Amino acid sequence: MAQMKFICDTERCIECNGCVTACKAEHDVPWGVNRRRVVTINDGEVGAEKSISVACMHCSDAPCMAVCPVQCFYRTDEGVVLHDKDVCIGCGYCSYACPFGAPQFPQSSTFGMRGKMDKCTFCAGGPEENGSQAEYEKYGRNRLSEGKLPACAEMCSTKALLGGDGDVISDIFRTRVTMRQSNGKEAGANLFGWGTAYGGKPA
Amino acid sequence: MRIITLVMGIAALALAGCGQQVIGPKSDQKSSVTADNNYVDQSTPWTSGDKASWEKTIKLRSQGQNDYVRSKSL
Repeated sequence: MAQMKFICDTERCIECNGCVTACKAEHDVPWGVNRRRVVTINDGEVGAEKSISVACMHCSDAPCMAVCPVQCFYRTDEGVVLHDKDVCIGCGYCSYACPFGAPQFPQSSTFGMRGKMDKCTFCAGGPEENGSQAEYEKYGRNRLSEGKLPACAEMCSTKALLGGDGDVISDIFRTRVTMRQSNGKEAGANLFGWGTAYGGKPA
Repeated sequence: MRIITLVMGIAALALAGCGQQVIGPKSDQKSSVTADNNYVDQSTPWTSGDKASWEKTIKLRSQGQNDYVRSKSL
């Protein structure tokens, strides 16, 4: 059974923000909400500066699900963590619990009125009819039910961001690491967030 | 008797709030159910609702991210 996961290859990410743009355009994400963002660490340190594309990792044991007081979250058969905006009360507990800062809240007014939580859906929409207008307006496109993968991963110019079945993408990543090692380069085998999200390194 | 009935009535009203149930999310369609729009990938069609054929489609598409597979076709 396919279990959907993300991998960001820090040896390949060039901080172009193509994934961020693709996500915003595909789902018509409003101002102030970024379902995906690129984080750069060790700025200016030659050889140590790395960029990482971060969004909801759809954790195996998702802390957001555990803390939600109205239980608006659910997990699909493919391991994608989604939520029902009709149930969400915008309390923000999930944003405190999430280790990746994935939950976002649109600001609907000047004085901090928070709207319903918004986050990466792994391009799997929400609990509305697949591909319907209602689903698009609340959650964005449902690319999985169109036979496609997340827009961020498919648009990545260097294929640093991999998204899809965990077995397939970890195979792709493993091939790269092996190739780099055999060429005497930095292996770059450390997977950002993989242990936190999925409880261990890929097999 | 009236007082007991009144007290029981107030108690029943007071406890009614404790009986509220958490709603939870609506049930969602499976990802293998084909989207109801014009954007469905027609190159590798699958039977709507058939999980096995949908997974095959997704796995095939995933290989589009594999440079080593793509470069072989060049």
